[in-house]
Order: sequence, then C-alpha cells, then structure tokens
Amino acid sequence: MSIKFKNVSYIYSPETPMAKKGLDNVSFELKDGSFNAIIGHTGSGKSTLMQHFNALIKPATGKIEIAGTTITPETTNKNLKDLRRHVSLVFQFPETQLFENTVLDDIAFGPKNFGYDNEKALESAKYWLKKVGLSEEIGKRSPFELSGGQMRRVAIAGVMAYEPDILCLDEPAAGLDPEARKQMMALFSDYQKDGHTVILVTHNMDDVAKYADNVLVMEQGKLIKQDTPTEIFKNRKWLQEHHLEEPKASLFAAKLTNYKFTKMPLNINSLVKEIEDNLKG
Amino acid sequence: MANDNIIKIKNVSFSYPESDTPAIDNISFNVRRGSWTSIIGHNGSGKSTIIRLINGLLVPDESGSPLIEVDGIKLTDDTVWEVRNRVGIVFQNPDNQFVGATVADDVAFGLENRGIPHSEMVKIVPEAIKAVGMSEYANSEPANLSGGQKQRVAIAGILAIKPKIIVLDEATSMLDPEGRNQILSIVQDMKDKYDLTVISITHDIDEANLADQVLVMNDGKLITQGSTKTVFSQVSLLKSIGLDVPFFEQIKEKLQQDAIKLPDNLDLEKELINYLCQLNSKM
Amino acid sequence: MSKILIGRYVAGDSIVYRMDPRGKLLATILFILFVFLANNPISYIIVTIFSLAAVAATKLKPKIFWDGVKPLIWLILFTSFLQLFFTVGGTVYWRWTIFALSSYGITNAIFIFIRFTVIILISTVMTVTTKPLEIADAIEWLLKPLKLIRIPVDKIALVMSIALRFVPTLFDETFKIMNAQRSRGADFNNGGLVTRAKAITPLLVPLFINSLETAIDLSTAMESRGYRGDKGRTKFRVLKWSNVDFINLFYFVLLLGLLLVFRTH
Repeated sequence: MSIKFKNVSYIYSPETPMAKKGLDNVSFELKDGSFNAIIGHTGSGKSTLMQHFNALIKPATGKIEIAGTTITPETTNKNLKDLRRHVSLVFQFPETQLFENTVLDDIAFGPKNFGYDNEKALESAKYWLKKVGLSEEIGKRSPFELSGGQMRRVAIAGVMAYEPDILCLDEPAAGLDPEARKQMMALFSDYQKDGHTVILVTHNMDDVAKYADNVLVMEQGKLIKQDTPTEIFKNRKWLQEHHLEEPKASLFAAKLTNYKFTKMPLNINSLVKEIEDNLKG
Repeated sequence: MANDNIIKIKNVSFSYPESDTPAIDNISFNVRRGSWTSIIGHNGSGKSTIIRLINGLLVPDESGSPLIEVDGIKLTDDTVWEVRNRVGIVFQNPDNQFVGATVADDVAFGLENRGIPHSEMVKIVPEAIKAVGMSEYANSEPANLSGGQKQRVAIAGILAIKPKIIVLDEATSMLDPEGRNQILSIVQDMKDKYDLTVISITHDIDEANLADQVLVMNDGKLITQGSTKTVFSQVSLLKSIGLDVPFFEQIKEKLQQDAIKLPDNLDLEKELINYLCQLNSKM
Repeated sequence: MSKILIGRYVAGDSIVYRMDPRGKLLATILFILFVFLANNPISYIIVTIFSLAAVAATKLKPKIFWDGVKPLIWLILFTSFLQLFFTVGGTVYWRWTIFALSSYGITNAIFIFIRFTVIILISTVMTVTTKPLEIADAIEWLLKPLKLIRIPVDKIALVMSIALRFVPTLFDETFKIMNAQRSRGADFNNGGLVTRAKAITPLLVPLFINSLETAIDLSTAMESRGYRGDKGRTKFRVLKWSNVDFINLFYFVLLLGLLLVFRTH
C-alpha cells in the first residue's frame, strides 16, 4: 500500500501562452508509515505535488497509486470521498477554514462527512481536541473567539479527527511561536509512530533533520533528489548550488574548522557528542 | 544631539475594552536613535500592541500618567499625524497592507495621503522602488508578486515618506527563508543609508539577534531588556516563557551539562567557535 | 472562472489600446445614446459600419467579440421575436390569435437585433481593451461633477480601486478554502439544490470572516500610512489626453453628424 508516482506531470493554464509546467515527469515511491519531507523553493512545485496526493488536482500525464486508489488524467471529481478519507491535506494557515458555531462541531465536520455518526464524530472531536493540547472548555466556544495559535490547533484537529492513513501538511507551524511549533511537530511525529504516513512540506531544515526519514527535493517542477536526511545534508556544496538551507547543527559544525566529524551532525545532540568526541581525542 | 532617545515610553498600560487583564502592563523603555531594537515574546504577549500605541493607532489607559514621545514629540491627539510621519510599519500579512492596484501606486499611497505634488511623486516613487530592487515590477499587480516581493514594496512605500523609524511587525513571519533574508538585508542596508531606527517584533531568534537592544515581553509585561548578550544568556528565563534561545547558547548549555568547562565571557557565536577550536588544537 | 469577474481585458496593441480610458468610456456612452437616433435602414447601416470599424481597429480576433455577444444571444433573439410578432402596422402577412407578422414587425425586429448587437460590440471593444483599473479611473473622472452635490467621489474611487485590487486575492482565497474543505470531505459538486446550498456554508463563512479580517488589517495599514480622508490628498495616477483621443472624438462627431443627416425626421 505504498504511495507510487509514475511519470507524473502537471501543466498550469494548458493551451495558453501562459502555460507553465507545475510538475515535470515526477516519479517516486513512499513507504507506508514513513515520515517524508518535501523541500524546495517557493514555486518549485511542492504545493502542486501535495495537491496531487488527494486528487485536488489531477496529473496531465502519468499515474498515481495511493491508498488503494489510482489517479490518472481521466480521474473525475466523483467518488473521491474514499480517497480523501484516507489521504488528507492540511494547507498553509489552515485556521482560515474554520466555520462552525463551536470548536467541537468544526472538528466533527470532517468525520461526519466521512460517514461517522453524530455521536462518534463528537467523540472523536473531543479526543483530538485534547490531543492538540486544548481544554475541554474550549470545545464549546466559537472558533472565532480563539487566538491564532489555538485556531491552528483546532483546524489540525479537524483533519486528524478522521485519522487519515496519510497526512500531508504544508508548513503547519508557520507563524507559530517556538514552543507551539515544537508541540505541533511532536504531534505529527507521534501520529507517524502510531502507524500513519506523514508528508511534510516545509522550509525548516531542522524539522526535516529531526523528524523525516525520507526527503524529496523539488526544483522547477522536477524531483531532483530523494534520500535520507543524512545523505541530503551531507553534501554542502550541492545544497548551496540549489540554494537550500542547512540544519543549524550542520552549519555550526562547518564552522568548527579543525574538528573531524564522523558524520555530518544534523541535530544538537549529535553535534555536542561529536564535539566532545573530538575533545577527548 | 541632546536627546539621544528617539522613542521614550513611560508608565504605559493598555487594556482592550471587554478584557479584565491589561494587554500592556505599565511598561517603560527607551529606544536610542539609530539603533536596532527587537521585541520578542510569544503570540499574545503584547508585542504588537506596543507598536500600535507608539503610532497612535491605540490610545494608552489614562491611569499612571503615561508618556509616549517620538522624536521629541509628545504623542497627543494633535500630534498623532506628525508622529505617523516619522514611523513606518511593515505589517505581518503581505497582502493585507497592499493598498495600491500596482507596485508604483502602492508606493505612492503614503505620498498621496500627505498631499505631495504629482511632480515630486514621479521622482520619489521610482527611487523608492529601486531602493528595494523592485524596479522591473513597478507596474506589476500584487496578484503576480510573491509574499517577499510584497513586503519589499511595503518597505519602499515607507522609504518614500522618509520616516525616522521603521517597524517590522512580524513582517517576515509569513515568508520563506529566502524572502525573509532579503527583507532583513534590505532593512539593514536602509538603516545605514538613511540613518533609520529599526524596531523589529519577531519570534525568529536569528532576526532578534541583529539587534542592539532586546526587549522581552510576557503577558503584557516587559520582563527583561538589554543587549543580545545579556538577554540571550538568560537561557532558563527565555525557555520558561516558551521562547527559543540562540543555537550557540543551547550548545553551551549542553556542553556544560556534560562537564565541559567554558569561560563566562563567550557571549557571541564566534567567541564560542573560537574557543572550541582552540580547545581542540590543544588536545 | 476568474476572467468573468475581473473584467475581460485582453492584452493587445492597437490604436484603441492607446486611447485614454475616459475617452473610451465617454465614447461608449455616447454611442449607446446615438444608436437610439437611428430610425431607418440607412442610419442602422451607418451604426453597424461604425461599430464594425471599431471592432476592426482593436486588431483582436473576432472570436473575442463573439464571446461578448454569446451570453446575451438568447435575450437578443427573444426581444427580436417579440418585436416580430407583436408589432402591428404596415402590411400584415400572417395572423393567429394575438400574434401577427407584419412588415413593421419585420423591420422593427431587425432594428432591435442590430441595436442590441452593436451596443454589445462597442461595450466589448471598451472592456477588452481597457484594464478594469483604467475603467475605474474613467468612472471616477465621469463622476467628478457629483462632488458639487457633496458626493464623496474620491472615496468612492478609492473603494473601487481597492475592491478591484482584492478580486484576485479573494479568488485565491476561495479556491484555497474550497480545497481545504474538499480535503475534509465536503462535496461542492454533487447533490440537489438544497444539498449544494448547504454545502456552500463551509466556504462562505470562512470567506466572510477572512475578508473582514483583511478589511481590519487594511484599515490599520492605511491609517498608519497616513490616510485621513480625502482632504489635501494628491493623486499619483493621472490620465493624459493624447492625439489618438482626438481621432476617437472626431470619429464619434462624424457618427453623430451622419445619423442626424440620414435619420428620418
């Protein structure tokens, strides 16, 4: 049940002078239960790629196999519910999608659409409200009375409440303060450990290094590299050529010019350990 | 100059109507002319409220005889427009501050409001657009610009009115790293070139690290202030209110936990790096 | 889809594109008035030739103009048919209950058909060659006399230009929210009218709330950028008359003259 992209291309405004390749012959395979990061510049095709996962946009050519569904250029907008129940997308700034009278009702919206009965939907909503770190009391309030950070949590709970097998997130922590960011990332990491697949679109290389076990690098609609974070961040020159940032630990390590690193440290713990190993000789 | 503080804030409090607890609780601080000040704090700590008080978008509570002075002008109903002539703010959301139909129109907006004659506007506008590197987009519509480009236009619109103070109100938080770096380097250039005072409200620790002075806000109170050195070395305090500390401070903390002795005066990243390199060559 | 709302401006380069939007707007309005002067075959031929010449002057593909007429074609045909069967007078060729086909009916139907079509053609010439913003500028200019009766024309103009500027933003937002709700299992495409009307709530509420937020942000930004009403405001965007506008003007004076000469008095 892995995710397979085979020669997928997508063209924006086809057959007009403004036609532009959104995706250019992209092929890859993602393992079940993995934590994947998609990185690349703004406009590199990351978001376009993401919207293919649940057929919000369909490929111009090529084929996608995901969660038991095959998406081709001929796929129509009918009968996509089953796919979307299993593969869900969280867009950037998802707090803008809230609309219900109460927080709980908003979280229950997705589950109800996907066939949960009222009681089960609310039960799930309550469970995920707690999971995202909000109190029961907040459940009864209007989502529009909450702070921006709380609204973000509600929106994310609203997608996790029907427990999609594959959860795709576009910069879910953008604009959050550091503490909220950590909590949010921990939530997704736990979700993956519970046996789900997580796909994270992000610019934050520290998060990539910390959580991902597979990284896709996009550039101008093409998939230019797919590998583990260790391999991706090993080659500084390549990263600089493609204007990609590096994790803070790698950057710091690079400045310690007379140190020998057995491997490029990607997080603070391995960096500190390597420093200490060097000092011990 | 006799008065070296371009902003003076004294005993300022502010409460939103409908709220029991003040959003700003008896704050006093000064900003030196030509300096870079960062205000950090988690969401809802009152950072942005301060800025709205400084340029008179909000009026402080009357109790405690508050004083807000900008460039020697005491902020009152009568002086609010004079103060606004001296303070330009780049807001968080790139779209929601773009008033004009095109880049040039937007840059001209502040000039139009101040009744600058057309013959002068046509000189000032292209200059300001050029200063932020957007000349080739002068006639572009906002829909065709990236977030970072829109924020550059916002800066151009501020430069056009020749303010003394430029405020970045989480102006980079919705941008990608590339856009963020561009904005920061433009502001750094402009600060030197036009002798501006910069106030940046942020929770990006790297952005805060550019400052001469850091103010830390929590629940409407100013809990500590000082140079980046003094503020960022208070690792446990910052962590306790949910803020990041610079990466090298985190490394220092971990090394010390592992019983590696570090001298007390390693207050900058490069000092730590130098020390660690020396330490390694002695081995 | 966004094309329908933001106007139908088509990029191009011809004399019509170089004309001042005020001239074009005024000419369009005058043309619509002049058309009503036509009352005999020769005057209708004149307006037809004039409008086709204007279409030709744009140097755009005929299809663009057909697209302008197409949505209204049934209305035009329906109105013409009414004229055809309900006008009495002249020779009556055929009669059945309240319907009658008369010579007056036939000529009236043809006249109505031409009148409608040329008005749409000329309006299309205006809208495809003039950016929405320029049209807004032109409307502002046209409304200027209303200042005398204390109508805040400058404010209205600013509101128009901000509204136009936010149309694409609003569209992006709409698509984004639609996709987000689709991901949560909302279905905008299937079901009956009631189901669909219900399905649109998750789209409309966020759109409304977000617009409100944008409006608040925008007013804060405008105030801090020194906006304090119209008093003493200058304008950066100015329109300038040029020679092509005199050609345009001449063209319409000529039309008026010809119509006055050739219409039946």
